[in-house]
Amino acid sequence: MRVVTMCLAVACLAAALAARGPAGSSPAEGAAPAGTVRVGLDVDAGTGDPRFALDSTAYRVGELVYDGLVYLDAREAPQPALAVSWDNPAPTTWVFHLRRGVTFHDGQPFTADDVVYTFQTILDPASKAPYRNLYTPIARIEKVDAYTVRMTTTAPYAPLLSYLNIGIVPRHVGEKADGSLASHPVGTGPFRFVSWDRGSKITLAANAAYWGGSPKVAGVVLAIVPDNSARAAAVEAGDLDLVHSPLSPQDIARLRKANGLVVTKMTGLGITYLNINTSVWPLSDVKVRRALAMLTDRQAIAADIYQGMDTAATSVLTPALWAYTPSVRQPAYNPARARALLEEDGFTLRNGVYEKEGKPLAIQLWTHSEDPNRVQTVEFLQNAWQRYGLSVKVQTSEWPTFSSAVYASKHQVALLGWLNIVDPDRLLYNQFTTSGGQNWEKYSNPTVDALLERGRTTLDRTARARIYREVAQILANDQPYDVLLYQGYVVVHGAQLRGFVPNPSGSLKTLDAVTLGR
Amino acid sequence: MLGYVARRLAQMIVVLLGISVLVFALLHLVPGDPAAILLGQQATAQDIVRLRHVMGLDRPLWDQFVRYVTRAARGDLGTSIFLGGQPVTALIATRLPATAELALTAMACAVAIGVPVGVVSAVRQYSVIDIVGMAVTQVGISMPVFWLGMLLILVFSLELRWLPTFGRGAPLTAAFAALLAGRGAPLLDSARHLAMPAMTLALSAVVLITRMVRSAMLEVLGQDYVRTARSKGLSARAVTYRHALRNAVLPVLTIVGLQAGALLGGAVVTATIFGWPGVGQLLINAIGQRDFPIIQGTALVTALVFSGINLAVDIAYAWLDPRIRYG
Repeated sequence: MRVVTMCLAVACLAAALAARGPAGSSPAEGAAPAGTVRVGLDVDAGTGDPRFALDSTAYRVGELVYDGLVYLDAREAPQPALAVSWDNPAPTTWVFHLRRGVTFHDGQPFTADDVVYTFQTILDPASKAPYRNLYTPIARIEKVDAYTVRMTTTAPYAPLLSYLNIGIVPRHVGEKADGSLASHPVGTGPFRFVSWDRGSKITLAANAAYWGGSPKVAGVVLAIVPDNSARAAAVEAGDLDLVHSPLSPQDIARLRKANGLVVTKMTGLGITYLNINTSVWPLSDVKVRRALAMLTDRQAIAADIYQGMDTAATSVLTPALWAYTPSVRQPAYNPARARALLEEDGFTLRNGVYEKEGKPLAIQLWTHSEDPNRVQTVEFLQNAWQRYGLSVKVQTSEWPTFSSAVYASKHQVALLGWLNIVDPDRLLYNQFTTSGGQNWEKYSNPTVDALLERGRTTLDRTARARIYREVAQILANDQPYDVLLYQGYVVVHGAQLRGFVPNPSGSLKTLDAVTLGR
Repeated sequence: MLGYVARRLAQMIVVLLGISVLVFALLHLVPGDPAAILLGQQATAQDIVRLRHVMGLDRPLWDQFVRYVTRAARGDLGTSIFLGGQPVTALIATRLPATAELALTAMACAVAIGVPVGVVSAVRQYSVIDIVGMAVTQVGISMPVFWLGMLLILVFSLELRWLPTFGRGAPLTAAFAALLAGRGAPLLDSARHLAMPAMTLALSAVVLITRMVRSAMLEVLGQDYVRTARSKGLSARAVTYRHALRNAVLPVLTIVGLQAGALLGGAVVTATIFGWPGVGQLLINAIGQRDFPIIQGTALVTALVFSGINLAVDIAYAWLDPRIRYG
């Protein structure tokens, strides 16, 4: 009985305390100094070391706390950062001239040694750097003098600059055996690390000595709010200043109507696509793949399932890329033509299902269970394809199970996506060359192999754009990928936050130039 | 009694070992390779083979298991694969207090609401209070936690602007220490952050406890000794609380024990909605990434806590009911 009485007392106290907080202020506000931008993100960062960053929050920390040799502007074009300029004395040689007078947040000077150290540790075969293979074409990296670095690539490697925005870490900290950069990042960036409340928030303060000029706000708090709708509610309630994708379309529609919020939507750097295994019948038949494309109503998927957040795709090149052209088009939605194509290919309808030589046109369609929109999309496709005489089995598994099957090409048709396509090479080379590491669809076309090799080794961007358009046209005809959607990118922030420039990559780097009018 | 506790503790070691074998075996049975996930979609097959070697995942399973168990016995649960190589024990230790705080507050609320409502419903069976109480609990048990959480945010954060939408205030221990030092603000802040997640989490336990107390009380109230107590001329209050409730509370205690364990482990959805940095979130992320050391460590610690609570409940039985003796 005493226990119950005590519990009651505690509950009453809690209820009384909960009733009304200090007038007009939220606690998140109360805890942070004035002028701190509160950003809501969906996951906690796995590491504070940009070399090993894997999740999007680790990337955000990387951009705010560190600088790369370059940074990518809102059009994903490399701009000088820690490298003030660079030149190519030969197609395989890159010389970077480094910014002088830059110091790390611990006061130590930044020099060529830090650049060499960063890339050598990424390239170390024992390294756990997730994107190591973006840098493996670098055969050698040397210090020429304290402010000059030379990189030599095995062959001309055009996308290299787009990948050099990775944060440069201080050698003197990185070499400590305790791996402290992972939990206590030290960079040269506009914000310095203050504290990390695991699973809850990461606090950064303005770096007054920043080479690009001190930020105009006192700091940034990256708050971890895993649920998309809860994050949207938090920005609406004023507990957060800025949130961005992933957000649910229903919440965005509501936020657009709310007072005092600025909603910006643009095409992002990701695609959602069907990976079609070209090594198994019936999908080895290009006419079947083209028929599938004609039975796929991408507009309906974009409008009804993604509610206009993502847009219907026309080819493998996204509009956010410089190589994009609207003239390359996958087969458009046209069920009548799809049926004609299948019948011309020797398929006949029996009991509502197409078959050829006694074998039914049966397809297994697979995606991962974590993304409800993708699950809905495969169900939509199953329904649509079945209506036109295909036998479709849908399977959904959690990501580790699904991805390991797709990586081993054990799928027929898999719905998944690619992110961070800052260069066409990143979406095409490993994916479509015959021996490419991500050629899970087992596509092989000597013309495409040769073109992608040329695209990678040609340094002139106009010439590269032409090559990638040619590749995109071949892929649109062959359909090893059916690109469904160009992923949208949405930023929602309070009107009190001024000067923020959204970047389709999700970068928050321009927080170094914002002001807060709270 | 001491002998009994010692025996139970010995059994716990067997249970923990069993859990370790089971979790280890299951982790290696289900598809999904941490090396492949760590390297992301851009990795090549050679990259994955190389990293598997670096991580020791290419060693025989028995070898990996023996290494794990011998280290675990020394209190070393290994380091996380995805969280920058942090020690698993440290990761759990920083999050366990947050989870415990939320679960205990939720349980306190559940008992504080469930027991009185259950008692009144039983004493006044078929009264308006009983009917309304049972109807409300019926609705409560049917309401998805997720939906309730969003509803609370909508009302208390967006409409009334009383409570923060997410996050945790100062740890309760620190907040109480500040209160003793004469500063009430941290406790207020903690309580405002705790209110919605705790109520959301408490709901299912409130329902269970209310219904359990009601049926246990109804059974006890019909027994001879209660009639005897009444005929002695004892007040209704004394009969209800001193004679009946004490006997009715035993099955309730079992439910509280089981629910406390479930609340510790099951706070995941609530923690996700309210951004509460607990163990559940750590575990869910780890499962999605196949972060073996975290999954194994969390399972082990959860099993330990669960067994501990069960033991405490069994000891409480003896304390509450003099007829129960452990030897």
